[in-house]
Formats: sequence, C-alpha cells, structure tokens
Amino acid sequence: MSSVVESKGVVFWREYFPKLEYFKPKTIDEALDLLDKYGRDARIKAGATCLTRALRARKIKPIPKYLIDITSIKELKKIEYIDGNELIIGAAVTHEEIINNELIKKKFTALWEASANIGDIETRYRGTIGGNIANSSAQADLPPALMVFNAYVTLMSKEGSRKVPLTKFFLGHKKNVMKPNELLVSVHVPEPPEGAKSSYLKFKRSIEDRALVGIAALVAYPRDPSKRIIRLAYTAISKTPFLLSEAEELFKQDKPLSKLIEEAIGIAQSKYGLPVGERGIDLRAPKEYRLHLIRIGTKAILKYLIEGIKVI
Amino acid sequence: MVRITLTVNGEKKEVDVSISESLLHVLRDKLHLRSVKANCYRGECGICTVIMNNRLVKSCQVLAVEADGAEIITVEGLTRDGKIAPIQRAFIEKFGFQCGFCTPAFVLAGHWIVNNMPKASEDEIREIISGIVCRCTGYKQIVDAIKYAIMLAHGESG
Ligand SMILES: Cc1cc2nc3c(=O)[nH]c(=O)nc-3n(C[C@H](O)[C@H](O)[C@H](O)COP(=O)(O)OP(=O)(O)OC[C@H]3O[C@@H](n4cnc5c(N)ncnc54)[C@H](O)[C@@H]3O)c2cc1C
Ligand code: FES
Ligand code: FES
Repeated sequence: MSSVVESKGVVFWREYFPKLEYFKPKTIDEALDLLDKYGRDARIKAGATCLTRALRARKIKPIPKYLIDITSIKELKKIEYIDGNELIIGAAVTHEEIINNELIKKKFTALWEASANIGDIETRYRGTIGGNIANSSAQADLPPALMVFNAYVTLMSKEGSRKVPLTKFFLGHKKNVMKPNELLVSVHVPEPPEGAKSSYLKFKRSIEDRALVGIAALVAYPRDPSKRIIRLAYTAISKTPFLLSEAEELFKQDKPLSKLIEEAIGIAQSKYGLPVGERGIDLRAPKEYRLHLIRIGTKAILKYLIEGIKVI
Repeated sequence: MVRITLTVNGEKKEVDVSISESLLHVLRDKLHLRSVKANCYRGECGICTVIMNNRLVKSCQVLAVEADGAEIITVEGLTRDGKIAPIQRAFIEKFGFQCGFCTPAFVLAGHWIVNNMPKASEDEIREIISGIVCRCTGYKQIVDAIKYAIMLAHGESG
C-alpha cells in the first residue's frame, strides 16, 4: 500500500521519502567531505522531526538525493561548560539532553524553559538544538531564548569555519545564512552578566503546541539604572525570531521602569510582520491577538524576573 | 535495498528496506503488524507511536535504516502466554477507547508509563500522552485507564 494525498494536482505528501542515498558519518570531517561532494543535492538529517515532513511533502528543492545523518558524530553530541566563559552545545544535542542538564537549568534558565516547552516527549527525545536553529521556523522556541544571552553558532565547511551571531543568522521563515556545504557544528552561549536571571514564556493552545507568541527575557540589577541590563527577544510575531535590540539601550534610561516597559512593548508590537504559517497565512492567531499577547506577556515575564511574582 | 535487523516483540527479524521507507512502513506493511496505525505522516498525531529501545517514538518520523539494530515493541508484543498486560486490561475495564483507531498508540504510551514512571501523577500522564490525538474519548477514560494500570501493576501505593 502506498498513499499519496493530493488536491487539484498539488501533492501534499507521499508515504515514501524520495529516492535517497544514506550516509552515517562518524566524524565532522567525513560529514563535511560529503557535504562538499554533493552540495545542494545533499541534506543533513538530525532528529528528522522536521525533515521527514519536508521530504514527504517534497518541499525541499531541489529534491535531496543524499541524506547525511549526523546523529552518530560524537563531537556534535557534547555539552561543555567553560566556567565563567561560555556554554558550548553540540548541534546534535537533543532537547531532552538539554532539559536533563542541571547547570543549564540554573544558569541558562531561558534556554532550559524553551527546550522544555518544545512539542511533546517524542519530539523532545529526537529533535535537536541544531535542527531547531537550522530549520529556521518563524515560530521556533530556542532562538529567542538563545538571543537574550547573545548566543552565536559555529558553521563549518571544507573551506573553514565561521561564527555567526544568532541575531544575524535568520533571513526569513525557513531561510538563513547557511551555504549548502555548511554544517552547523555548535551553539555558543556566553556566560550571562553577573546577577542575571532569565526566563521564557510561551503562549500556546495545548501542551504540545507551537508558539502563538514566545518571549525570552534576561534581567540583571533592574533597580539600578546605571547597572541595569534588560534584554527581550520574541518568536512567532515576525518572519524570524528576533532580539529587540532597542530594549537594552532603552532600559538604561533613568525613568520609571513601568514607563520603559510600556515603551519596549510598543517597539516589540511595531515589529509585527505576519509570521508565515505553512501556506503563507497565519491561521493560529490573528494579529490583534498576538499584539495583545506581546503586551501581557512582556509585562508578565518582566514582573516575574524583577519582582519574583508569576502572574501567567 | 539495505538489510536491517530488528528485534520486534522479542523476535529477531531481518528485513530488506529502501532508504525511502519509514519504520512505520516496515512495521505495518512489511512485518504486517497492523496494530501500528498510519495517519498524518507528519509527526503531528502520534497515532503511529511505537516503543523503540524503550522510548516512545513516532514511527513515521524514523527512517527504516535508522532503526537497524533497534528493539521495537508494538501492541502485538504485550500479550505474554495468552495473558494480556495490565495496561490492556485497564483499557477494557475503564473504557479507554471508542472507535479504537488511536488505541494502540495510547496503550503503548500507557505501557511505557507503567514500566518507567510508576509514580506518575495525572499531570505527568497527560504530558506524556499529549503528542497523541484521540478524536473520540476526550482523554478522560484514557488517563483513568493508565492510572488504573499503574495500580494493577504496582499495587495501591504505586
Ligand atoms: C509534533 C511536533 C511538535 C513540534 N513542536 C515544536 C515546538 O514546540 N517548538 C519548536 O521550536 N519546534 C517544534 N517542532 C519543530 C522541530 O521538530 C524542532 O524544531 C526540532 O528541534 C528540529 O530538530 P531536528 O533535529 O528534528 O531537525 P531535522 O528535522 O533533522 O532537520 C531540520 C532541518 O535542519 C537541517 N539541519 C539539522 N541539523 C543541521 C545541522 N547541524 N547543520 C545544518 N543543517 C541542519 C536539516 O537539513 C533540515 O532541513 C515540532 C515538530 C513536531 C513534529
Ligand atoms: S502518522 Fe506518525 S505522527 Fe501521525
Ligand atoms: S477512540 Fe476513536 S480516536 Fe481515540
């Protein structure tokens, strides 16, 4: 039995993946060789939670001929913390492995909370941090949580490696700066500023849902304008997740916090730009509702981080 | 074609698969384990859930080649020597199903919870099964059945 679902000649998905050759390299170098050799015809496979759907729907063009499974590369499975400096997470580390890491929970709380908020237990077991970023969905949970720490990624190809801040990585829904021969190798999260606390707030309709609006925040010394650091990042309200870069300067001003928060909300709302769903429309929440969620969510997450009071 | 070895419900099986096939296809159409249901093929509904290496996975999202060497459990493997597992008895007694289409997935999720989280709270049970969709029951009876199965397997204190 083989199923094909189509309507008016448009194929939505097929039961079978396209005809593929499969490689399971053991080292980064082997993976880079394969990527270099097959270029646009090759595709990286990590947890495959998104890839299998895209392959069935024949969405990736040109249709891949070679699949490079990176889940057996040990170097990509490491979580390393260089004390006082940075946290380095291999691209093939799963959401579940992040959730099981006590240090991440304590020090990089926004990342931990965003990971715990992804999908269902099956998706967290297989899905990876690299896949979440490389997939570059406008609704992805991890990018905003990483952006409030000024995180960056290392991309590697046969020609060498480069570091790209996450704020410069996304170009649009499912679009990013990676070249066809590049592999996302690791995610680097710099040590948070002294005294910082962080959190991630996700509005969703059910436990396993994708974000209607996702807000990450990092706060240090909120009461002292000279030392105060407040960073805000959002997902699912624009074509890419983004860091509200104006916020950090704004919150340095010596004005009542409640005023500054109102200003930040206004700026965040002005960034709204249809977070495209699958067919270029957003069925899950209308603009007015998302703008409302930005308002109450930004207030709630900052109240929590500044006063320790959870209202949502 | 690639030859893979699977241990399915305790039995070693060798199967020739192509890279274009998912584990779902191999279990359902090559090994004829018809308890494994196919539905959305998009990872959204959880109906194709099986236990692979003692973890719940959506078999439509696992490439057949990837499963080489894996240990798989489907509902067919829950009955031992003609005796049904506690989770099966619990689903019958607590009316855990109506049309039955989603039942194999929930029974396996419940079986996994019984074996791995004997102290699971109702919230934890709901969290674990949240990736599986049922269009009939409203989930209440399913959660009741899983709680009851934990009791059957581990006693009152469980
Ligand atoms: C039921 C369900 C629920 C979900 N819920 C959420 C959610 O709540 N929040 C959320 O953010 N996402 C969600 N997702 C989306 C997705 O599963 C996750 O974002 C996941 O992290 C993707 O990782 P993966 O390892 O499975 O990626 P894959 O599917 O393996 O890959 C995705 C894409 O990234 C590329 N890629 C992967 N790794 C690399 C790498 N190292 N270098 C270069 N390219 C790479 C692949 O070629 C592919 O194009 C959900 C998906 C499903 C099916
Ligand atoms: S058929 Fe696999 S999740 Fe729906
Ligand atoms: S009993 Fe009909 S779908 Fe669950």
